[in-house]
Amino acid sequence: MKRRTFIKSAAPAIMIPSLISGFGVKAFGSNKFLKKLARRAAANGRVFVVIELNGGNDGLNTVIPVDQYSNLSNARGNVLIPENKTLALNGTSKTKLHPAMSGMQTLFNDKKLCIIQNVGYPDPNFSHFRSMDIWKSASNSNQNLTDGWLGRYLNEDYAGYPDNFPTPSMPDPLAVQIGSVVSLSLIGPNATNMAMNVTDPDEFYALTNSIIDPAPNTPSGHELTFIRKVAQQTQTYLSVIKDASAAGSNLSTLYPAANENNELAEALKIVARLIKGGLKTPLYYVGIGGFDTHAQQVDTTDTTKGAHAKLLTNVSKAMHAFVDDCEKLGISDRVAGMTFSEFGRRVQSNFSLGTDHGAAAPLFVFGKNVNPVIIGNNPVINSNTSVNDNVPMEYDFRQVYASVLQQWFQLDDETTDNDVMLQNFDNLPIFKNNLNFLPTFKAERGLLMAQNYPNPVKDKCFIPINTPGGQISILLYDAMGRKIKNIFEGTMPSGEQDILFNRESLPTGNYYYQMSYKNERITKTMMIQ
Amino acid sequence: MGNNAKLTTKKHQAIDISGKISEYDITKDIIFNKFANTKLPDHLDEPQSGIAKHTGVFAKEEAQHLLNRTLFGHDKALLDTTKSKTLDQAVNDLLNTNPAITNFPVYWNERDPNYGATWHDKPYDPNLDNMQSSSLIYWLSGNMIFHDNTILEKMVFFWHNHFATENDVVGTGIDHFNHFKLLRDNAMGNFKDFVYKITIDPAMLKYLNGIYNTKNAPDENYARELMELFTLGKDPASQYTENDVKAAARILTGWKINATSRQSNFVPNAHDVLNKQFSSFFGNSSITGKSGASGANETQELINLIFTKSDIIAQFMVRKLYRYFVYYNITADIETNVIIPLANDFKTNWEIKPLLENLFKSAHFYDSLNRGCYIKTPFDLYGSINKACKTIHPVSTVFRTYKSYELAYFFGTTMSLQMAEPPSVAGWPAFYQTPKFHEIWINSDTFPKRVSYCVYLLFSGYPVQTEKVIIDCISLAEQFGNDAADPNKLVAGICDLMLGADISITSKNTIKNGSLLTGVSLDSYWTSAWNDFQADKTNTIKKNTVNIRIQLLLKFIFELPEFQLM
Repeated sequence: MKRRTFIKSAAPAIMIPSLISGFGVKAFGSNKFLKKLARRAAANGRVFVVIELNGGNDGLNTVIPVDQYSNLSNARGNVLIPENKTLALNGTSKTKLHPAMSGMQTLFNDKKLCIIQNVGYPDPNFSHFRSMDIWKSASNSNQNLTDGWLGRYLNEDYAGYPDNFPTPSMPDPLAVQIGSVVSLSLIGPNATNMAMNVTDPDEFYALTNSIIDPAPNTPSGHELTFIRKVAQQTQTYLSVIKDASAAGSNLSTLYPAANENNELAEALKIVARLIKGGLKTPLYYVGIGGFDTHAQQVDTTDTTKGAHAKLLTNVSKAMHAFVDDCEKLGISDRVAGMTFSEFGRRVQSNFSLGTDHGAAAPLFVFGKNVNPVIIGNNPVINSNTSVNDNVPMEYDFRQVYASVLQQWFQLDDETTDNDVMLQNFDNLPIFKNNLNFLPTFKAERGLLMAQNYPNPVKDKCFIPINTPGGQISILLYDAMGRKIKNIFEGTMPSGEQDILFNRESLPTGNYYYQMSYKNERITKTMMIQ
Repeated sequence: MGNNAKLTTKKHQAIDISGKISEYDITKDIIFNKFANTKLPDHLDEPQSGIAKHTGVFAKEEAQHLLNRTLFGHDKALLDTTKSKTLDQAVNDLLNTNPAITNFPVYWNERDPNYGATWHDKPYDPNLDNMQSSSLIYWLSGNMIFHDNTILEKMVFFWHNHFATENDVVGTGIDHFNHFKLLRDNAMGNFKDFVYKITIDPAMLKYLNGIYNTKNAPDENYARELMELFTLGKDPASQYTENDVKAAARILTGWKINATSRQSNFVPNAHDVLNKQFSSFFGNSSITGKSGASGANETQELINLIFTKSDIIAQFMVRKLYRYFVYYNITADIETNVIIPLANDFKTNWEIKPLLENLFKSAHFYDSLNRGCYIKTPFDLYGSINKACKTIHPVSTVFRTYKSYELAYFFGTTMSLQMAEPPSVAGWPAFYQTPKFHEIWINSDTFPKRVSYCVYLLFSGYPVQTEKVIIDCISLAEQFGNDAADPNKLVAGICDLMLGADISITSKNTIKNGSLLTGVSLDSYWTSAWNDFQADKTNTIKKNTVNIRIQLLLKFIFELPEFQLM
């Protein structure tokens, strides 16, 4: 009696590919595929850990520009750390760390920490949500992207996820996020969450999301328990994560005690265990919140103590212990990581012993293979700051991302620019040279830009520069960090030049001008009267 | 078939953990078989309430429970209007159904020369069966999802499960359409009349071989299911015999289908005119054989005879409705306090609507132990996100409209509820297969789909030419009016609307922090983001800022096991 085949064959056959192709199977050509194979072979086993510092970390009280102390004490005396309490870094007397950061001081002095100064983006946005979305999606300030930079990267290396995964060569999650908050960073094209969210790899119900209220002894509780068990057992990657967690271990004695409630350290402990336990997962994502320090950032009587000090203690201890653990576990060659926060905080402090939403801030990259230097210059603080003064950007955060992708994951130039970062960003020297820096990266160039004269500016001034010649740009930003105009953009002959700048109708105030030449930037302040 | 039948679901393609595509077979599902009931739960708190009218409050929770169980999804607005009604008003409005069809199924494929035209009212053409059948199954699925806020579609589906027919057996689109129209027209009517009409319904005559049942070659298929599945059931009290089945089959000989009118007609010379003797279970009755056209009258006599076993039929049907609307576990107390009293009323006139009214107005229905324990069928699941999440459907053309219907059909199909293709004449096992019952909907193949397809409609959407079926997060939140600006109220409101079991404040805060606040500590950040967007609604960046956070919130919701319950 069963006579017809149309519907039966059509329905499941259409259903599966059509729904699933919506998840974004991206075909790739054979040429690109070979490139990928080569790259994967080179980058095999490398792991990168992203630490989100949610809320906007006060960069000026984290990496302290001690050469700016007198202006800093004018601007933010009530939260400023006494200079004699700051922690020194080898090789510089101008830049020091918050006293809570002894762990990271050790890392830097042991050549396992890279500090990148003044990382931000043009036309900064001061909303947590928007700025976090910009950082996570790696968009321009005025651009709307709904996927994340790590998601786009993983989609390049693991096309077709999740439909055809796990595979023999990638049996493990592409990314593991400790915690249940899905990060936009890890959302791939077509809205696929590329990460597995894990709260506790050993706990029964801890996957997917951490919400397990007790089930009552009612029909509802009975069915809830049934569904939970099926849900739990059905998690594709459950067993690999549990197995890796069981096989891994922690060897560092530097992890803080449980009663310190250092969530970041606990999360990084899991990460170390999963890496050691054999997961091939290349990306881990962890985070802590609380950096939105509008009030009581410091104690009334002691600016080295208080909420921000506690946060930095947690970050510093956790990072130090994690790097130490990787060393002892024998995985340090292939593990690195970075911190980021959606913005720094305002130059001026407020009257509540806190700081308000700001712009650029320092960023840390850690691990045995980082270039253990301070990249960039101390921010320049004005002598008479206004409430709106912000630390101007020296490096775009997307330069950091592009450097991680190209230097650490060996992603080729073209894919980085076209498919992940969606535009070209110059690399920074974040990893050691022996990690195959891309040929485009060059070190010192003898680039110079002097103070404009006259300063303050009434109607025009000159900006003296010295370059090796080639494409340069000089942009003017206001105190909020918003781009105001291009002072110069074009090709420059080598040697010294004076660039003319006309004030035109610009209002009185503090401004910044920044010269960009390839991957390098120099920033100075300008006052307009 | 029946309760003791082997556990079956219609086979569908499944993707296993290693990525292999195979036919899903629930009997080989280790995870499902490990955790699903191996016996009916007897250790739980049991409701003691009966069918006396509910006299407690009728407020948001009661309204939510009533809508959950009687509709394939509802939105916030309907919840708000329902909770403001009295219990009587609310139930009466839900039961006030209108079966008239205003959107007859049409040829939906743009390349079809008859694109957009109806076919139920055209002369039968076997060459068009396939297109008519696909039109029918999408239309039926669409009707479930685009219901009119009355119980009608839920009842149509109940009867489809009860008087089950498979489209690929019935074959003819027009016959199957007429069958579903019959289900629709009688869904709230008189059950005894309904059974008679089903008995001579052309689709049923084909599905259970009635047209091949003749005096020379009697076919017992329909006669058996008429007793076992459609009326008496297979309880210990239901003691009809094999000879009763044979006698009934002989009574039903002679029914055919008119090839042009597609109506059933009685062909006297195929009818067995001898007398038919029944067992002591039917009081040793006999039905006198009749020749000529009056042979058809024996059919009504058979129905009358079967319906003399009114207690058995009424209880069987009430249990089935109870399991469909309330919960599958009928304890001894429920049998005494609910099933038997309802059955006693039902058997007096076989009217379906008053039976439903008694049930939905009863104290038992609103018993807190009966809430949140019902595992959503795939249509309940899709319906719940569709209505509550304000899913956008392209309806600009017939083709696009049917693509939306098709999605509903696909959604059900891959989660083992294929519209118009029940696994057998017994219907879907989740409604009868003891002791697992509703748990059958959730297994290692369907659970990941239940989550990921909802998430898919949340983020990517189902492409339909230049449009999409996609959840509208902004409209979802805007249903909550000013409360949407308060992240606590928005999370709580969405939980109330979408979860079968409440979750703790701590859990709601976890959701809030992880989604609307994306980690920052102050509620006011969400409030200002929402208000900024409301003040500047065409700003795509402001819109995206709130949209992505509501998406994260819904993703949390969809992943909660509580979301699978209602």
